[in-house]
Amino acid sequence: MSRHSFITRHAAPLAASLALLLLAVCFAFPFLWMLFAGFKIDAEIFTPFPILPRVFDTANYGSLLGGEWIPYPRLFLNSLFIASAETVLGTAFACAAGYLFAKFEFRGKRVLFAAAVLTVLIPRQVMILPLFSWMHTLGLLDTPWAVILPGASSGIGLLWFTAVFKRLPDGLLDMARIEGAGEYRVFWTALPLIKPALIAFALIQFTLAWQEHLIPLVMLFSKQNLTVSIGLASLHAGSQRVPLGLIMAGCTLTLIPTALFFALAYRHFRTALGRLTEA
Amino acid sequence: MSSSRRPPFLLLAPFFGAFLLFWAVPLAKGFWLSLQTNTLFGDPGFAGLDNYRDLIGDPRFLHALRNTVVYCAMVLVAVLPFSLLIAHGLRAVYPRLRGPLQFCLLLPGLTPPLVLSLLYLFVFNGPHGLINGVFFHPLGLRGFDWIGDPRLIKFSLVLLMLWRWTGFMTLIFLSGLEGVPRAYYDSIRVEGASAWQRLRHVTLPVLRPVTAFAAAFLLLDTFVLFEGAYVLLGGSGGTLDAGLLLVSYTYLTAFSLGNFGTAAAMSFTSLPLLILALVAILSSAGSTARRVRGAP
Repeated sequence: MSRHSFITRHAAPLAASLALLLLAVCFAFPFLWMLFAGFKIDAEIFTPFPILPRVFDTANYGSLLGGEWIPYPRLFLNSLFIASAETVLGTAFACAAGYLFAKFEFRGKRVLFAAAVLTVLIPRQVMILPLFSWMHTLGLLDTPWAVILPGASSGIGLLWFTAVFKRLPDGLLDMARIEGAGEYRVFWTALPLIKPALIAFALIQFTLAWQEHLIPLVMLFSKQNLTVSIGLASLHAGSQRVPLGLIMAGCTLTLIPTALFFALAYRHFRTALGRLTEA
Repeated sequence: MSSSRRPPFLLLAPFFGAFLLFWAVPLAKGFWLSLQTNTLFGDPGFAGLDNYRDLIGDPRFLHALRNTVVYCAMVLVAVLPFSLLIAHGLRAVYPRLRGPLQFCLLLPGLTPPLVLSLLYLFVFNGPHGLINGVFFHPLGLRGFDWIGDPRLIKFSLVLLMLWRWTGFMTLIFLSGLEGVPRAYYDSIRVEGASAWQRLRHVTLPVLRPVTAFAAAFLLLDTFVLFEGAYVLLGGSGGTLDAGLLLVSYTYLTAFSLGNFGTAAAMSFTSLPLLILALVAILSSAGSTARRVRGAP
């Protein structure tokens, strides 16, 4: 009897755990290989097993960070700057606009909202050609701003923050009004109340900005102005014989910012999603 | 009531400033560009709708369009149900495993697509890939040319998207599932409903808004997925153009051939299609959400 209940109690979690463990291993294995490939010499790399290098050779990291093939540290900082600026501007702009759309009625609101969401949802690829010639006109080509500014108004962000502020009770805002705060001041006091949503969106925005490829590929061309992705792509596609281990070392490092951000913000991300999806 | 006060309109200024400058203006310019003959510098002539007419007669464009539609549909059909299944699984596993499992599943979503494509090549690249090397060659089989074979390339691209987005979509579904009140399940279980009926009549309707968001997000990303196809196929359409997507064809037309007018026309032709699909997805969310609330 007790054995029977032990089985029924554990059958489902055990089966689910085993199945998902298998899947997780499949998902993560290439990353493990990438991590160790950075320490291998090329002859070892193409045989996936044993996955551990015979000796941990740091020469790849040395010549990568020493800028032997591409100015890697510089490119990494470029990417960090671009993604951070896009995150700060995108989050702030969408948050402010979303507040107004959620909490106020004004003429032309629906049209404005629909235009912003529909137009900004348009994929980058549609915009890339005219954007290129427009940036040429503005003299911003080959500067980080050619990548940052188009990312500063996010349609997904507007949708996100409008939904978030709609769920914020008006009573909380009225308390600030009773104390005589002006409307801008009221908005300011509302921000701490949606902190998880702010952090969650910043996380999404940062991840997307960090991963961007098409816009930087078109807008940036000087060797020291590229982003990390574009730099690595040029190494991969280039005709020089770049050690694969070096490329893999470069790839491994690109995971650090997003993984770190995610680990730090995960709790807020879940809180915000949970609040939005509550029935 | 807040709506009687004067709205703080300045809060709109940054968003719509950036919006006007970097979306509306280029969009208008792009439309103008699509009406010009193909010269980037120098004086382009006015071509009217010639670029659009040329497109309809271009079999490669129609091929790319069909590939893109099929590919987007395949991604949606593969990723969404799979993620829902995984989300269900994650609720069933031993709690201590939940964190590490989620981290492994999310890893591809946190990676720049370029890196992901390189790793994907390592696993699937024809004769040298890990799959063929570990599973097929030891058995004396030749294995598959996952990327070079025109019959397999779309499957390979879909698998890449599945790898990339399952973790993130699972997270979204997980939050959605936590929002389903227990009472819904209890009441339907009392009526003796099967697992399938519970899924069909409670879980799916309640998850509809979340699913719509996930679908819209996925559709947009799939439509613009450039790195995947670009790195895997070196910017071409692959063998026999079997993996030629609109995004890569547009890029090729503009930056390899220098036909900016044609490329701009190409972008605008696909636009109504995409907007229609998005509106359909998002409005289906609204209507079902209401229907659920009316249900017991």
